Amino acid sequence: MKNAFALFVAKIDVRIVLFVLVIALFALAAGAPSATITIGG
Amino acid sequence: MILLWAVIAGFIAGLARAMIGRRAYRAPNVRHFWLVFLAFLPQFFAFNLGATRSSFPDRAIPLVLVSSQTVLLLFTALNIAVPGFWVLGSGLALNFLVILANRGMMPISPEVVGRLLPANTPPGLWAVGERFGLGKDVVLNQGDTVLWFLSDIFVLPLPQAHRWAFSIGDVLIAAGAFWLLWRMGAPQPARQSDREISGTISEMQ
Repeated sequence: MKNAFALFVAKIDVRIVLFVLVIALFALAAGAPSATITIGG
Repeated sequence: MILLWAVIAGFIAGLARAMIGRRAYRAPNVRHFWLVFLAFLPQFFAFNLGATRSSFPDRAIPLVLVSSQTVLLLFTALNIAVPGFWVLGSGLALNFLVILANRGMMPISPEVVGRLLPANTPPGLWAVGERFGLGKDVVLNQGDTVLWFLSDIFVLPLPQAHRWAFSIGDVLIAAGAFWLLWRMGAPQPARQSDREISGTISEMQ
C-alpha cells in the first residue's frame, strides 16, 4: 500500500495537480449551491 | 463542497481509467489559468475564509459574484476549444444569467429554504429579500424571481443536516468537471481533438 502510494506520488506531474486545482476552483467559483450549513455561518 | 465531490470523483475515475488501460493520465493545455485564481480570490474572502466572510458586507456580494463570474466567462471563452469546457461554460453561463437577472445573487425560494432547513430552525435566521446566511443566495419568492427555473430549485434527498439546494447550472458544472477529469484517462484516439496535450502521469506498471 505504501509502495503504491509512493509510486502514485512519484508519477504525478505538477501540471496534473495544477489542472485539477484549476477545475476545482472553477467549480467552486462558478457554482452556487446552498447548504444547510450556510445559515449557520 | 458538493461540486468538489464531482472533481474528486472525476479525478479518481479518470486516474483509475488510465491505470486500468495502462495509459498515461494527461491534462489538456489550458490558456491563462491564472484567471481562475483571480476569479476565485474575492469569493474566497467573501464565502470561504471564516475570518472574513462573517464581516463581509452583504451589499458587496453582487459585485464580487458578477465580477468573479465575468472573469470565469472570459477564461472559458479562451479555452472553449478544450473538450469539456463547453459543458463547464454552459453551467457557468446559466448561473451567471440568473444571478445577473436577480440583484447579482443566486435566488432561492422560501419553499426550497423550507426543504433545506430543519423544521425546528429558530425564526429570524432568514427573510425574504435578504441574503441567505453567508452564501451566494438571496431569498426571493418564486413570483419575484426572474428565470426562476435556473435558480437553486433542486434539493438532494439527504439527511436534513447535509442537504444542498442547487441549480441546473450547478449540475452542468459538476458534470463538466467530472467529464473533463474522466476524459484525461481516455485512450489516445478519443483525445485526438485536443489541441495540445501536456502533463502526464506515466503509465502505471
